[in-house]
Amino acid sequence: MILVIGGSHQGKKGFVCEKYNITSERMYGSLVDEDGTYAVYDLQQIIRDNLDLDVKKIVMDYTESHPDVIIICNEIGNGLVPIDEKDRYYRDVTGEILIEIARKATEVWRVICGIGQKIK
Amino acid sequence: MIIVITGGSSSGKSKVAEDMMNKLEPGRKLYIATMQIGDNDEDGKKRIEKHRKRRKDSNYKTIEKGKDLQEIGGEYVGGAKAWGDGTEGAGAGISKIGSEEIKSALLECISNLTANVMFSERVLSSDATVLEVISEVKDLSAKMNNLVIVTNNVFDDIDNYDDMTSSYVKALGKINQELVKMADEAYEVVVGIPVRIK
Repeated sequence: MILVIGGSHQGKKGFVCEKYNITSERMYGSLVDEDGTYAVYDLQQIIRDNLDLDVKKIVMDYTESHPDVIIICNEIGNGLVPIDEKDRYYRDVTGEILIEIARKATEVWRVICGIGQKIK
Repeated sequence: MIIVITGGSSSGKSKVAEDMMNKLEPGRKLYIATMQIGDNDEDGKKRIEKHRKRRKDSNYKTIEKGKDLQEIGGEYVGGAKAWGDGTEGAGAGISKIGSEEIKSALLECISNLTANVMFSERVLSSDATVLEVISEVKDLSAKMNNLVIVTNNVFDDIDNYDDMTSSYVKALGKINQELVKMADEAYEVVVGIPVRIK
């Protein structure tokens, strides 16, 4: 598994297409049942849409059964603590999930201004 | 040795800080908690509980100190209470801080300390807050051989804050820069991975 993170609009998807030589048809905005080299982007949105479920388990089970996936996710924790409780939970659970994915990933990239920095 | 650890919310900063502290000092050390929570703050309670659990097996003596860090050590006995995470009651050993007994501390975290200093009996200016926080941390670091400082990256966000919040963010930004100047090493923790920045 490969994890690619970064702020929004930093060129994460473009970076992945180029780096791993895949087309945009191999990128999905949901937890699809695919194999080979493909990417799931906007993981933060998938998490946000499933906050009422055990979203951590859903995502971790998915990465377990799809070990070759490239996961793309926005970093969302680098701001002030939100006032809304659900927003706080969203931020925290996203952070926890990313730590867990990063631990299992063979590579972790952080993309800024379209440039990928390898941090693992 | 002074190490500064920064990172976003739920980025794994605390775990990284604890691991680094344990490496620097496997024996007895202080955990200075600056977070002050209200009785109804369930979020805060959960967070504290999670951190306590993780420190349970380590050699931490926990003290809660929202601000006035210069009172730690020497004659300091009152005000702090142990969290029951395997450390003894606060009063007893704390007078030994500053002697050879406990010379390592993990300070967590600067964002809370800054808020506690800025918004106390009266609201301090951004500049006055920076001076006070840096002076308190310097005082503490002078008493310690090893100090690991956890702070927070709150700066990559929309910035249409009210004046008071802007003043806080400005102070914290300046404080982080000053702390890293003082530090021997500094890391940004990203998804649990420490990325060295100094």
